[in-house]
Amino acid sequence: MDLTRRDFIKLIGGGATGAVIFSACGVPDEELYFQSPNKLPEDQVTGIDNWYATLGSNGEGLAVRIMEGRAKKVEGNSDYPINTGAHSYSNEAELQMLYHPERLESPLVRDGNRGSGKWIEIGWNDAYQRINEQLNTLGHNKSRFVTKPLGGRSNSIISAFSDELGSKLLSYSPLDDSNLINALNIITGSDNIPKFDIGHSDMVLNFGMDFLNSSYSQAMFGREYGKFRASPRGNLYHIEPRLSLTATNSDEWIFCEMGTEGMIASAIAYVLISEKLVNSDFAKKINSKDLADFAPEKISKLTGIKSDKIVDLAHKLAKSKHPLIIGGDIASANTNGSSNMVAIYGLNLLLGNINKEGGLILNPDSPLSDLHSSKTISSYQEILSLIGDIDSGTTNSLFINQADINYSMSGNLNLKSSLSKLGLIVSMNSFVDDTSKYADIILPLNTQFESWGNDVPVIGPGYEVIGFQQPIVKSRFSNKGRQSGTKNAEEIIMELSNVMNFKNKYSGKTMKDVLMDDAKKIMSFNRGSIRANDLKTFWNGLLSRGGWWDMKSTVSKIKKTKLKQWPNINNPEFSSSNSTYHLVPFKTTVSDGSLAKTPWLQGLTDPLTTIAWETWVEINEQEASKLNIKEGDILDIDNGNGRKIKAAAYPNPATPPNVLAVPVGGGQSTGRYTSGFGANIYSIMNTMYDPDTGAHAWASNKVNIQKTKASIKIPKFEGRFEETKRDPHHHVIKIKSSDSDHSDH
Amino acid sequence: MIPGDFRVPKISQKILIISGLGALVTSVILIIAVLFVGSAWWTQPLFGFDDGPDQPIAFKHAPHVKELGMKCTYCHRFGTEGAAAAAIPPVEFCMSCHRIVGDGNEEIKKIRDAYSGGKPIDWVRVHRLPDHAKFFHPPHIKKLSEKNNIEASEVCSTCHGDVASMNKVKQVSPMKMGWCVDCHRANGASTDCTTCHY
Repeated sequence: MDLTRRDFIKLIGGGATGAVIFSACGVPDEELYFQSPNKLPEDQVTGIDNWYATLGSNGEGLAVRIMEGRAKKVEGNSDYPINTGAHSYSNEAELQMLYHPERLESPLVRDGNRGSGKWIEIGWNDAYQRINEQLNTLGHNKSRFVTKPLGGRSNSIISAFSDELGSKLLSYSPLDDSNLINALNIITGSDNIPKFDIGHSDMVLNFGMDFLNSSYSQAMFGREYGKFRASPRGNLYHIEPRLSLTATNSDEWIFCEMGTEGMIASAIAYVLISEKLVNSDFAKKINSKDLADFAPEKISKLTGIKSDKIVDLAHKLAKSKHPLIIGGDIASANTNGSSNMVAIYGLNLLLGNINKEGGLILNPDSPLSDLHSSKTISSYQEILSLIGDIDSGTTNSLFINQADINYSMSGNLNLKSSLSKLGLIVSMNSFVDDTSKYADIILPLNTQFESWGNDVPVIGPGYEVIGFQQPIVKSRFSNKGRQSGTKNAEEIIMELSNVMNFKNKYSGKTMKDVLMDDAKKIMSFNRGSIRANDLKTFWNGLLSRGGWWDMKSTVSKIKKTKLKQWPNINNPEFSSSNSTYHLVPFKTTVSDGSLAKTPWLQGLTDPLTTIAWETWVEINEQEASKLNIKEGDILDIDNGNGRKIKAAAYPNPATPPNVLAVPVGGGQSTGRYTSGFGANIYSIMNTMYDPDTGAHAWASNKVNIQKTKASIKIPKFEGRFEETKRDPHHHVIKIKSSDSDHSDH
Repeated sequence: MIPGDFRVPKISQKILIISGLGALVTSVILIIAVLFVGSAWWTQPLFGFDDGPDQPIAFKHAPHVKELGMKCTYCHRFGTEGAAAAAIPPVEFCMSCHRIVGDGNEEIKKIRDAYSGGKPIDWVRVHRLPDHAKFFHPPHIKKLSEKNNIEASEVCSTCHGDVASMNKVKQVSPMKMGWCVDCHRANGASTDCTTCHY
């Protein structure tokens, strides 16, 4: 075939056109792939965050950062009157409670012997039915309910359920401070714990209250302490048998013998009255002759404080414009704890600083008459009588809400054996702990950040506050369906009440409804931090600010004190007269042990010793040297009643020679971050209590120690790294102000 | 040939049968091609796309979503909130868990190797829109999540199907203009041309 020039051009044109057309039909290679880069882009915004207000488990107001449904960071709610923007480290660790790998995901029923750790997952309805059937068989009136201290609506709902069962709700707290609460009630005549106005005081005399390490709001006490130390600087005198965190921050730590705090307070009272240094109404009622037995020189030997020192303290208090006397913790935890507390706080009456600046500022009653703080704690004596009832068969079933009684009560009580006598144990908890591991049914709870609630602060700011808690994230196991997953304790009780045909005493079907009903009542006051014309607006305001408060609702009229005369101070009694050392338990980063589940708090070093993840025994350095005990040597601590624990020695020059100080919280038998870490100091405590109030005398233990052959390296930061070398020639850079520079020239 | 002397040549039976069969096969092929192209053009290809493409790493959604309960937006956060595409997470993001989790798993080893070698992973694209259609995830997620009162991660399945159950991720929605417009109409969204074509 001849190819003409014309045909050639046609072919070329056609070919080019075809190439263009067909290439357009294809997809470029790069579009067929989707590349995930190797590194995270640094400027990548990974979502939009929201901050939600809620409450922490210690009553602080929190603001939590949420990104894509996950809680990321906890901060203090700057609006909330208790902590005003600061927050305690315990609240930081709520994140680890929420995302803890050992959280229970559905109701469990025991599948094996008690304590065998074998469980079967069941549905919620099934769990309720099983509980109902078992209680019908065992008898409702033989059931008791023990809970951790609860505040707000949570308390009233669970109390109502317990009442319906036929018995008073028992609130249990290890290392309870009911003597403190009782004494404040006597002194102020009010049921509410007053605000300790440390911030406005110019002199604070503190008997053993470790307020900088408080289980109430540390942030609140920290703020007060900051104000107290700011100009004009206040002076802090601290009397305690152990060098606590607060003692180290005082201007003067004064050692006293165990349980003699009430005598020291009485001696100060004697000086104040006999030298006519005070002229309050209460002071006029007290005759110095009645206090003659407490003259400083008479009690000096017993208390371990020189009489001059006591007189000096009394003079300093009399000279102060805003003196404040506080006490608690170890000073309230002896067999004479209640009288100690009354004498200590009685000094405030003598100095006339009740409801005055820098004194004890009274807190008003809750604006909702049936809504209270979590201050009501059952006495240790009541808990002991419960154990007696279990042993005698008077109680045959037990509900336990997050109260780890088996861990935190004395090993001498042999609670495990008592629990084994029960026909039914229902535990409400987010985890299997040392008590719930013996339960028959475990009902899994939402954690703090997944729950609804409200609360009246235990120590208010001097005016009415009701905090509101909202679920800031969806319940973590909500994807497991309606019959599985976790619930609020109150919701469980309300649903169980329905199944058990109890009279519905609750003002709504869900916890949210109940809280909205409270909100409605508060809205009707038409005063305070939030006012609105409709409930929806009010509710939104309430949740976005984390609560409601009225700064004008202060107490103007002081109630009459219930204290008619100076209290009798008994001598303290101790568990074993043959033993050498006083055992002083104290709380550290994991508090009473309930926070030990979180590795953040386990790993957070004790502020004084810098030790983490361990139970240590603070022992006087010279005493240790005499006994040839070195740091890390494992000691047997014997309570003289057949119980021993092993813990590592920590020789410390500041520990008094007759004292062994041991932190609580270690040695739990369940949990990956708790089991195998430290020793359980509760297990060697005695069961003595204050006969006046029934409060546990947890500081009345005496023990002996025996060095074992074992030794460990104590996990601590202190001394692990070589100190940076100091400048041998003291090349200190001097900074001068510009004014002084001019004057120099 | 003499004019007018027209005779139809006799075709052998063999040729007739072969031609008939050829015509039949051609027709079937044509019908299939027309059906395939037509279905692919208007909706989804009728056949051949039951499973998604093979990927360089045999990633499975089920253990992440069904067993661990992870939300889509946890990993596909890179884009669902601020960019057009809900992109595949960077390798380093996978490593935030797989540094620790997944020892002994060959596929996870590939991720670790890619990370330590500083190499990106080229995944085979499953969902693709033509260049002239602009799609932006955030308004779609916001609208449907607010309308149906569901979490952002629960909106994803509206278009992407039950990815958690897929062995290999595949496209389940046509993602053609008609389908987009139907959804816009059903949800009261704008159907202006410039909404997507700009």
